[in-house]
Amino acid sequence: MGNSISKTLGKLFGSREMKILMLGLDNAGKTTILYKLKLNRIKTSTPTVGFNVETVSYKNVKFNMWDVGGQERLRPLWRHYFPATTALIFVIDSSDTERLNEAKEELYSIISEKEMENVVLLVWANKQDLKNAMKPQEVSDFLQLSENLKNQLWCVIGSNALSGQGLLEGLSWISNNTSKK
Amino acid sequence: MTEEDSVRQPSILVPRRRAPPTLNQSLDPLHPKNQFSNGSQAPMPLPYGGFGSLGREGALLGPAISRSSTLNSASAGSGEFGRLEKPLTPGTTVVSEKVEPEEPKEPKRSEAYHIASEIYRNTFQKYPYTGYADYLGQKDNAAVLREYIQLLRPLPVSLASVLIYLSSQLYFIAEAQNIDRILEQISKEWVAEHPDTKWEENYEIVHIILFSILILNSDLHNDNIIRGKNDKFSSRTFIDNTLYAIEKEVSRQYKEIDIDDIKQQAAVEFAEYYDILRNSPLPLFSGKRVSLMKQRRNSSGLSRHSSLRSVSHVRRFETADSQNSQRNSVDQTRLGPPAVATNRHSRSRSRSMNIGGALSRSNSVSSRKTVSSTFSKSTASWKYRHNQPLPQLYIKEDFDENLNRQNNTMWLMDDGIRINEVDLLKLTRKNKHQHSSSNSANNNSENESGSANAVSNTSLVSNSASSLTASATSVASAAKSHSLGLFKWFRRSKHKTLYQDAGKSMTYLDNTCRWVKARIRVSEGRIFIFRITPGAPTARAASSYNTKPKGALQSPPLSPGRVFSSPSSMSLPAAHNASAATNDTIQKDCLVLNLFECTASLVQENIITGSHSQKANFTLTFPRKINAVQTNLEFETGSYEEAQNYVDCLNFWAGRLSPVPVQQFEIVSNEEYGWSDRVIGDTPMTSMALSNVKLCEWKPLLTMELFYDHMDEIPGMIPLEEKIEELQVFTDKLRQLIDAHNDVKPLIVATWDRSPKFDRVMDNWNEKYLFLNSQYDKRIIYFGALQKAAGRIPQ
Repeated sequence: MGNSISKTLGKLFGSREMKILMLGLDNAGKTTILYKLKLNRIKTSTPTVGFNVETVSYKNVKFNMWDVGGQERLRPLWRHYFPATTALIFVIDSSDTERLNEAKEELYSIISEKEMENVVLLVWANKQDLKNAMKPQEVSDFLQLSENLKNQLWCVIGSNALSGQGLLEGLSWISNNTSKK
Repeated sequence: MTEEDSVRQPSILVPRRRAPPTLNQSLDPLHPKNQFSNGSQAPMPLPYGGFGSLGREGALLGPAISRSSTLNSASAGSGEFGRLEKPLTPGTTVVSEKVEPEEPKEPKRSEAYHIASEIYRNTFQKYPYTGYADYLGQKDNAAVLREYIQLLRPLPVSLASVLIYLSSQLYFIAEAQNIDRILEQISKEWVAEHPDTKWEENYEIVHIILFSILILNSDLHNDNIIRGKNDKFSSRTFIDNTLYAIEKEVSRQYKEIDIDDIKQQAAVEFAEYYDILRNSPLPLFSGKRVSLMKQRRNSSGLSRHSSLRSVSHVRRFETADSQNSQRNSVDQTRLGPPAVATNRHSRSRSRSMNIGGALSRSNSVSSRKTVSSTFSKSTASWKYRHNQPLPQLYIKEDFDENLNRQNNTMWLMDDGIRINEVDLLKLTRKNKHQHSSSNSANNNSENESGSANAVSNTSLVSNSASSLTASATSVASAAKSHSLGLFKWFRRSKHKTLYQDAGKSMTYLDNTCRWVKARIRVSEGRIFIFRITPGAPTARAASSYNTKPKGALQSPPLSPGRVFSSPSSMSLPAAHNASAATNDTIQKDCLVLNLFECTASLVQENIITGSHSQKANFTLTFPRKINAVQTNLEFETGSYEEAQNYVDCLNFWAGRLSPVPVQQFEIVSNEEYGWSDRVIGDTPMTSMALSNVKLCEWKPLLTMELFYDHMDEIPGMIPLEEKIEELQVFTDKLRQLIDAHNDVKPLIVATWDRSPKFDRVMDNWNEKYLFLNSQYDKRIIYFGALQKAAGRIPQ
C-alpha cells in the first residue's frame, strides 16, 4: 500500500517542491500517521541529542515532523525553527479534551508567526475511532479558526491514523490548495 | 505556573544538601578555580516574593559570583569540554553521595530514589536506556526525576556544560514535553546550587536557556531538519531568539529583573554557548558497552529513537564513555547477565522495529519493476497467483459460514458466463508500459517464452494487450510464443467500434462486441475471473452458460483465503500446456479483484430493447482512480435472473466491505467555493467585494479506499448489522446535504449572476452536486443490497 500511496502523492503533488511541517503535541498520533503513509524516511547519519525530529519525503515533497510540547514559556523559542513552509499540518488528539486547550495555544503560537503567514493549514482531528472523540466541526469550533485566521486557508479533517481514513483526504486537500504557487 | 503548585515543596526547591559544596571546592570542570575569585559584587536582593517564603537559603547565604568572571571562565573552558566527563565521573563526586546514608522516611520517596539511582547507574530494567529520558520526563514520575537530578549534583556553572554533562549520563532524546520537565527540574536545581548568577533565583529563565541550547543543538546538528532559505542558526539569531523568549517570560511574570541591564552580558554568555555547540554536538550517551552489538542490530531497523549508528560513531562513544562503560560493567556483574536487559530492550522496541521493517520493505517495493496496477505486488491478483493468503475483507459472522457455500445467493455466485474482453484488456493493461512497435512486442515475447512463469504471466497481459493494436504479424508471433498465455484468448485483433472508443458501457448494443466465456465467482468480497478456454475438453462451464444455473454448484471446501485449493468441479484446464494443468495455472490464470466501492447494475433495468433475447447484461463499475481512469467490466448471462443475482451479490459484498466515507463530509474549512454565508448571507456583497473573493476549486478528496486492494489488513471493519445502520444514517445525511445544496443554488445565481466568476462558481456547484449524488446513489444501492441480504439470514 505504501508504494501506491507514494505514487499517489507523486501524482498529487507532481514536481512541485513543498515543505510540509507536521506538528502536534506528543501522543497526537503523528508517528502513526507517518507510518500509515509509509513515506520514504530520509536516513540520518547519527541520532541527535534533543528532540525527535522526523523527516519523510516523496520526491520534492518533504515532511518535517516535530513535536512541540512544552510550557508556555518555551514557545517563543520555537519560532525560528519553522522555516518557509508551504503547508502546516497540525495533528490533534480529538479524544483528549483535557489537552485540547494546550493544543490550541500551541497551534496559535505557531500559526501567528510571521513566517507562517502564507501557509495552508490542515488540522487532522485524529483518533476519530475513539468513542469520545470530538467531531471535526466541534474541533473547529473549539479552535475558533474561522474567527481568528484571516490570511491562511485552513481545513479540519477527521482522521483515524490507524485505518488511514482522512489521511489521503487531507493530503489531497493540501494538493488542491497549493497547486497555483 | 501550573506545575509549580505541585512541585514547590521545600524539599524540592531546596534540595537536601547532602554534601554542600564548600566554597573552595571546585566542582565545575570548566571553572576550575575562579568560581569565587571575584566575589566582590553584592548579592542581589531576592527578586520576587513568592519564593522567599519557601526558604531559598542558598540565595541568602551564597556569595555572589561575578558575572564577568563566570563568563570569562566559561570562555576559558569552552575548548576543553570534550574532556568533560572525566572530572565528573561518579568516582569522585557521586559515589560519595551514594555512600552517604540517605534513608528517606517516606516509602514512596525511597522507591523514587531507588528507581532514580537505578537509572543513574543505568540498570533500570523496566525500559531500555534509550527510554530513560522519556520515563523521567513523564508527569507521574516527577518524584523520580527530582531524585535523579539530585544524583547529578553538583551541576556545572556553565549551562552548556550542564547539558553536556546530562547528555553524557543519560540518553537524552525524548518527547519535547518530557525534555521540558527534565530541564525544568534541572534549572530548579541549578539556581539552588548557583543562586548568585545574573539569573538569580529565576529558574524559569534558566529553563528557557537550557531549552534554547537544546534546540540549538538540534538545529546545528540534526540532519533531519528541513531548513528554509535561512540556513542554520547564526550566533546572532540564537542570541536574539533566546533573549526574545526571556523577555517574553519576564514581561509575562512581571519579574523585577531588569533584562536590559544584563542583556549584554547574557549575549556574551550565549555566544559562548553557541560556539561550544557549534564545535561539537552534545554527546549522546551510548548505553552499555556489552549491549552495543545488540543495540546496533536493533537500531538497524530504523527505530524511532536511533537510526543505524555508524561503527565509527559507536567507537567514538566507546572511548569517550569509557568511564560509563566501566561503571556499567561493574553494574552488570552485580545484576547478572546483561542479556536480560537487552532482551527487554528488544521486546519493548518491537513495535518500532516493525515500523522500520515495513518502511524498508516499502522502499524495496518501490523499485520500478512492477508496473501494472492489477498485477503489481500485494494486490489480490498477485497474492492469489502466488499462493499468498488473501486477507479477509470483512468480519465473518456466524451466518456467513453456511451462506458462503451456497451458490446463487447473495453470498456466493459462481458460474460460467461471458465477459466483454475489451474491458478486461483495459483492466489488465492499465498503467502498463505499452509496446509501441510490433518489434518490441516480438522481442519481448521471445524473451519471455523462456523466462519464468511468474514474470511472463504479467507481461503476457501487456503483450496480448498490445497485440490488439499491433500488426497482424506481431499478433501471430505473439500467439505462437505464448501458447500458455494468460489472456491469449484476447489475442485476436479486431476493429474498434464506436462504442468502445467512447468507453461507455453500451456494448450490449454493439453487435461486434466480443463476449468471451469466463467463470465468474463472487465470494467473500472479491470477484474471481477465470478464463475458460474455448473448445477445451471440459466444456461444462460453457454448457452451463446456456442452461439455467444448476442450483448449487459444488463449492470447494473453503480453506481460509484460498477458494480454489483443489481442482474444482468446473475444471479450467490450460489445454495447450499439459504440465500447466495444475492449481498453479488455475491461480495464475485468474484475475482477482476486491469489490471496495464497486457497484454493479443490471443493464436491462435501464435500457429496454425490443429483442426477445433471454440474455441479460450487467456491469461492474470500479471506483475512479487518481488518474481518473474508471474501470467497467461488462458481463452477459443466459438469463435475466442470473444477472440480477450477480448484481445483488456484487452489491452486497461491495456494500459490506466499503467503509462509509464520513471524513469527506465532516470537513470544516474556510475555503470559498462561492456559497459560504459570507458571500450569500443576509447582507449581500457588493460586486466589488465579490470580485475580491478568492475562489477555490471544489474537488472531491481522495480516500484511503483507493488502496485497500494493496492492504493486508483492512481497518475499520464492522459487523453487518452496524454497517446497515451506518448506511442508513449516512444516506439520510446525504439526502439532507443534497437538499441543502439545491436550496443554495438560487442564491448563488442571484449573487454571482453578473460576476465574471459566475461560471467558476457554477462549476463548483455542479461538481459538488454530482459528487453528492453519486455518493448517494452508491450508498443507497449498498443499503438496499445489505438489507435484502439481512432478510435472508436464517434466524
